[in-house]
Amino acid sequence: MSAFLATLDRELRAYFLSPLAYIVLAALLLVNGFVFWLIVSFLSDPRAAVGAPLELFFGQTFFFWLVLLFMTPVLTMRLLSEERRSGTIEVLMTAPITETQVVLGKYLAALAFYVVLWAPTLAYAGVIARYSSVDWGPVASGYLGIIGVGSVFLAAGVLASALTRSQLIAALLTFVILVPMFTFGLLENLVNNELAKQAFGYLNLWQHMDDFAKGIVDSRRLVYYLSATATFLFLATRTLAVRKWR
Amino acid sequence: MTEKRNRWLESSTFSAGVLLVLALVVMVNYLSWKYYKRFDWTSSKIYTLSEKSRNVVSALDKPIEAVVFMSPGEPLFDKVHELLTRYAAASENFSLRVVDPEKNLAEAQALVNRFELSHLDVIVLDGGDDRRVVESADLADYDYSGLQAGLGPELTGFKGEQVFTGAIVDLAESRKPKIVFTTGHGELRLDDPSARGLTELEALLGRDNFDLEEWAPLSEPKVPAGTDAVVIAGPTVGFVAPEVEAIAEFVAGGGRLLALLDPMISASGAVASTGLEALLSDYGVGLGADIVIDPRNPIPFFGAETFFVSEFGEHPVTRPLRQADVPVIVPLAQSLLLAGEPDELGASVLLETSPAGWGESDLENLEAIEKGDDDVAGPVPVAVAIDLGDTSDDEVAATPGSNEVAEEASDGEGDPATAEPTADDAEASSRLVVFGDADFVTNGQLRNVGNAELAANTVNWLVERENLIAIPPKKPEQVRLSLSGDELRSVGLLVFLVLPGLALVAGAAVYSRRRR
Repeated sequence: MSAFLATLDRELRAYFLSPLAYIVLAALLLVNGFVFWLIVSFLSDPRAAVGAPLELFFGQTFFFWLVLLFMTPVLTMRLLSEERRSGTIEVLMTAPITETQVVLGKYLAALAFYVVLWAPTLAYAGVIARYSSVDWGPVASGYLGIIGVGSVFLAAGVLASALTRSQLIAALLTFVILVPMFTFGLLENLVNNELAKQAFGYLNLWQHMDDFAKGIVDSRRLVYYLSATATFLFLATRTLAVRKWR
Repeated sequence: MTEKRNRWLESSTFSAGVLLVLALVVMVNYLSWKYYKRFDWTSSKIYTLSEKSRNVVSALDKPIEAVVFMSPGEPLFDKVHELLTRYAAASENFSLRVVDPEKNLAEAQALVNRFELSHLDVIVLDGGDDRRVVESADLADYDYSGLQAGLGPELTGFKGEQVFTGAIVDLAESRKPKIVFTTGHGELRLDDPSARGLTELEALLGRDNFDLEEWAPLSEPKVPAGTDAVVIAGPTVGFVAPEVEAIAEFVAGGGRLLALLDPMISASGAVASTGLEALLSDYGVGLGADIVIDPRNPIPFFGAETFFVSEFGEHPVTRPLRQADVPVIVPLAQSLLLAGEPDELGASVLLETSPAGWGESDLENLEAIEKGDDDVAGPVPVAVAIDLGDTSDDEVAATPGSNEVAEEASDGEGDPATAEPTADDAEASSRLVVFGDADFVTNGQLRNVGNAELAANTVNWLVERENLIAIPPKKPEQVRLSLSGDELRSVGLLVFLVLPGLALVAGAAVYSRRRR
């Protein structure tokens, strides 16, 4: 347990004490701010239909996914590949700590940092609350969706980082895993077979976020996120284990 | 050699483990796809099926498939899809399938032939041997006032849930309850489309799968066989003795009666007799022979005799209105008097005026309305429900009340205990609802606030279809932003400069501390 906490602590420090993290945060806020400002300006036009600004903000613009698809590889690329490159992974693997503890510690640190990255966007809800009314239920479910999708993406990033010693390759590999994961679901609208439609619909992240943003929390989404996260992390621990006996 | 063997063993155990975990994940996701729940976190529960729809769909005992013949580009597609997903989540017997007529031409054509459709843009609820076709045009109300200004029609209301639930009830129920409306006394007519007619009520009850008929008691002095409830809707001429006897016999035999009785004011200012007074007094209800005034609950631009009621008694009929805090509008009513304690009579007051209301009995001087000493003091009851049966409201019974039906049903079941109900047993199941007003169900008033819900709930309660108590209207949170240019600028300042700036400042602080 203490080994796990030590890993978590070390990684959290690595995130929050790095100036790069704050540049990522500022960039994210700039992009999200732009999206939010667009939505607010659009809805303030008296000719515009009555809309829910925060519903639009959570996942109903392409920017949201762009940010997510580019940001998560950057957050996770360093985690394990850097240890492999510098050789510290050997030390780690001979230390009295299991692969699961290493992977979980690093993953949770990344998730914590990810949550911190999104936290300032709560100010947008505050802005809306000032000029209009806010239904906080859908805001909460919107953030639940962001954390859900993020947890899967970050887990994929951890796996990619375990597979290679190059940070750049880790980031690219993450991107290569995430893009099909994201676009797969969009095929829902292109296939005709009913079963295929339903299967793609199950994986359709855009539709997932659409529901979360409206305030609908569907058990299928949560099971999908949890199981996909667990799978990626499990594969990451197995990858480390393979290195041990090779 | 042993090392090679070990490695082979290790890698095969490893692969087997990974495959096992992947299989487990696929299985878990398959189960989650099959059995899932949807939770609605909105404050006004916009994405939650009403209790009525949930009851209907979860009670389905045969599969129903909803086939949506719409292109995803249609304006109503998203709403229809989201709503039908809720039904599918509520029951394993309800499934959903989308056929895009623009892309799945062959499949669409096959289904068009099978369902004998004349056009697309419809939703077919297919129950196997029977089906209902819902036109997408019936699902929404539009405001066309912008057409002159070159704007398209604006969607003002989505009625999907009422329409779909009605269609599902229709498919699931083998027998439609029969409701007869009396004629021959100047009653409101089901086929009259004017503001005083009942065509809207007919459509409303038709959607809840009632079979509506007319009955002229004078020419046919017995309630038609198979009738579940008799409705007397706003007579303007009194009933004669043989007619009243037929109705009394029906009610005493376990039948259901809805009496909508407007005050019949003659030219001289007296209130004429409806002929039903003796029948009603047998059940403890008297008619006030007055008009009800409620100055505290007025409707703007109307006289004090038109008022709204938001004081609802605790009863299955009014519970949804109470919960949703939706009033009903009552135009010109007479007061009702209870001959004893409500509990002893099995009576519940459904609607009453505020304490400031009264029953104005001086009908000759209606120009100067003022509360007199003889007038009934408020709160004045204007609608009363009487249940002589076992008042276990939670029990959802599908068996309607009439003798004929009870016998038919019990014949089928072969249950000797209920095959021949005694007169006492039969009367014990009678239900009556008396309103001192009939106007609230007319075309001119039915769409106002909670009137339609009240009417549908009343008839459903009368025939013991408590699971069909109507869907209370929902009030979604409407967000309209109207930020001025200055306000937009300050929001821009916050999101473009302040928030990212703070992040950079924090980064600089961390950087300088680490350097030190």
